Amino acid sequence: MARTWQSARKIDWLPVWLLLPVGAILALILIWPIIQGVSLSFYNTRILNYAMGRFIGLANYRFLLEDEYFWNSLRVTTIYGVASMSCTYLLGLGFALLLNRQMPMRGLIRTIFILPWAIPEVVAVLIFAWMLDPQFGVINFVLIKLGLISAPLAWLTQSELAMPALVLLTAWQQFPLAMLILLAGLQTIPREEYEAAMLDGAGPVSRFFHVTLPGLRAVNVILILLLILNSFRRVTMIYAMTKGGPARSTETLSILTYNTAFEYQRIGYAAAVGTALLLILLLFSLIYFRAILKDRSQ
Amino acid sequence: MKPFTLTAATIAIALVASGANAQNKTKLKVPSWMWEEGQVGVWFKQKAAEFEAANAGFEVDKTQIGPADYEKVVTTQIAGGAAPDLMPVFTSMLPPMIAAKTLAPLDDCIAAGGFGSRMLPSVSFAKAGGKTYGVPLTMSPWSMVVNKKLFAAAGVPIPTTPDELYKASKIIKEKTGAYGYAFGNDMGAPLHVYINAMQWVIGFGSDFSQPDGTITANSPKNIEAIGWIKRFMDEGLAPVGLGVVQARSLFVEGKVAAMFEGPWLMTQIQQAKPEMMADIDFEVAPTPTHAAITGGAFYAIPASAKNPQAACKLLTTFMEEEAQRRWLEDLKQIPGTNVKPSAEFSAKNPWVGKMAEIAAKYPGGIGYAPPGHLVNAAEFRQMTVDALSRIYSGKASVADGLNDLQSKLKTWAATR
Repeated sequence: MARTWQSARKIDWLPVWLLLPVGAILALILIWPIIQGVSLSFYNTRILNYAMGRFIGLANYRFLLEDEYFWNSLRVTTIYGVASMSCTYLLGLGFALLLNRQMPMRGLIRTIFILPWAIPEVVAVLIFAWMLDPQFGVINFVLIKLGLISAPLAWLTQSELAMPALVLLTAWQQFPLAMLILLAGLQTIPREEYEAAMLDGAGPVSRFFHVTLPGLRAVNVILILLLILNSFRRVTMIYAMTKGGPARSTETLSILTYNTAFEYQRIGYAAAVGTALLLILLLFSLIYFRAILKDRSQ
Repeated sequence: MKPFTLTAATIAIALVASGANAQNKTKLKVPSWMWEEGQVGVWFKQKAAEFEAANAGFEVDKTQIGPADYEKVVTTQIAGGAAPDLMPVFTSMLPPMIAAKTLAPLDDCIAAGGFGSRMLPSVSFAKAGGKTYGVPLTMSPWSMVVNKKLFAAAGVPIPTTPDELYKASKIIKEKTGAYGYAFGNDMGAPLHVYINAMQWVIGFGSDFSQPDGTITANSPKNIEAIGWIKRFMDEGLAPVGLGVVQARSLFVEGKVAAMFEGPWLMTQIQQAKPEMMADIDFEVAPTPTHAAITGGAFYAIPASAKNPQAACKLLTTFMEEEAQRRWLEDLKQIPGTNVKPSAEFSAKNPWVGKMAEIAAKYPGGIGYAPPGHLVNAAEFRQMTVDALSRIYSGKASVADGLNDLQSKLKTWAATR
């Protein structure tokens, strides 16, 4: 007992005191709004009678489970998450492999490829909205010239085309992040492993599958989780591009939360949708941190 | 004192004095989507300047908010305790605001301003429990705007029935390559898609709901009305996927013969291509009832406004008879009060008289406010546009799409 007391006295409290103000500020601007949001989900509040909402217990959550638009949004979020993650990853991997090779002006080329990531999301949306414009868009022009389509496509106004357009934009804007992380991962794979594989007669494809991919395993897990996490919480790009339309074909959970709160003014129910999204994000975050800890321990 | 020092001191004193002057003035918060809207913005700024000149203690805070975000921003401001003093509101914004008791009754202000007897009958839309919560700002009918030149080139008369519009559109397409009819069907702008559908639905004497809240989405008349829109799209007689802004641009470029629009399209043509005005006219809608639905806006004062008295004075400035006449004659928009235009204006703009005649003869009501579901109108419209999207894209037939909508709206209405 005496030893425990002594070891407790030896604790250096200075870092704790130094961190306390930051912790208090974070609690105020981060934790408190989350608590407010979760508690709001138990009320039937509308935005115009914010102070007059009535406590309704779990009614918003019961409604949520029966709400086809919530399930549609969950489906859309999953499709968007998986599709944008896959395209971003594949593009990032392709360019990382390319830029991992010795080539003239490699530094300059790497900088150029990072540019899309540096462009603000709203600007990227404006660029793509023009490129996808049914009348004046360059994408329709090229596709018609190549004979792939006979008439211009209304990319952002047809429900079956809006999601591919959104995934295309996401992949273009986000692939530099994947490229940078994968490039860093590629540079940690020892050259000797490639040389040994070549001595064993392995060709480029075999080397990719038996040396490169296993070497990127830890990076891949973290990157894939990070990309999915980002796609689940993305609002600006989707809202600026489609506002969740047409016909809810791009209405992810984040957009449903926003539309329910501010378009339909049902802020209590929007808080319930937001809480569901928060739980999903927490789950992904836990998996993400477990993956990081596992990676560090290895 | 040296001249430079004297000048610097004078400027410094003037700056301090003007700063102090500005600081002493009370800001009258008046957000609007119209402050920077061409000549309309100029009209508002002139009236604000007149108000400031007559009320030295006040300065009008002219915050411009885009129309797409206007309702969200203003609603959030009111909910957050930072309500404007005076605000224009879209007609669809009134019912939820009145229901939530966020607007101040304006009866005393209207009586003091002396413009009550001149207000348009549509003021009834802003009345609840015997009180008036809004003053009409503008009330314009939607009817058929036509390019007479294209009809003449194709050798077809101005249509008066859906079938005539359909046949005329086919001939116009064959002979001139132009579209006979165009409308905004960009599903990213649900309000425009809804309004354009309502021209046909109300034009067939129907609606998606009734005043008692009953859902009538799949009524035979609705199926027939939406069927006409679908026919124009399917047969390439109306452009597909265009937003209303692009559709209007096509009309101004002379590539569309007819659109269901309001006087704002005339203003756009007048500004972009004044020489085209001679070929343009405002006609009766070629639907069975010829109903001209009304688009408009109101002025309202929030119940939590900090300066309601000053807001009332500014509102009175806007509603002065001469100001209202300028709104009509300079901006070519229908003001919120009855104004008799000058003979010269009527002679120069015969379409304005025609428009007023159509509005009086075929009143179609507020088309984008679903009867019986005014408070939850935005959700109602979104669900309807979701169904229209499936129908227009061919994923569902008109009957199947509307049957599905009927079922969804009934379930939704039961939970509201």
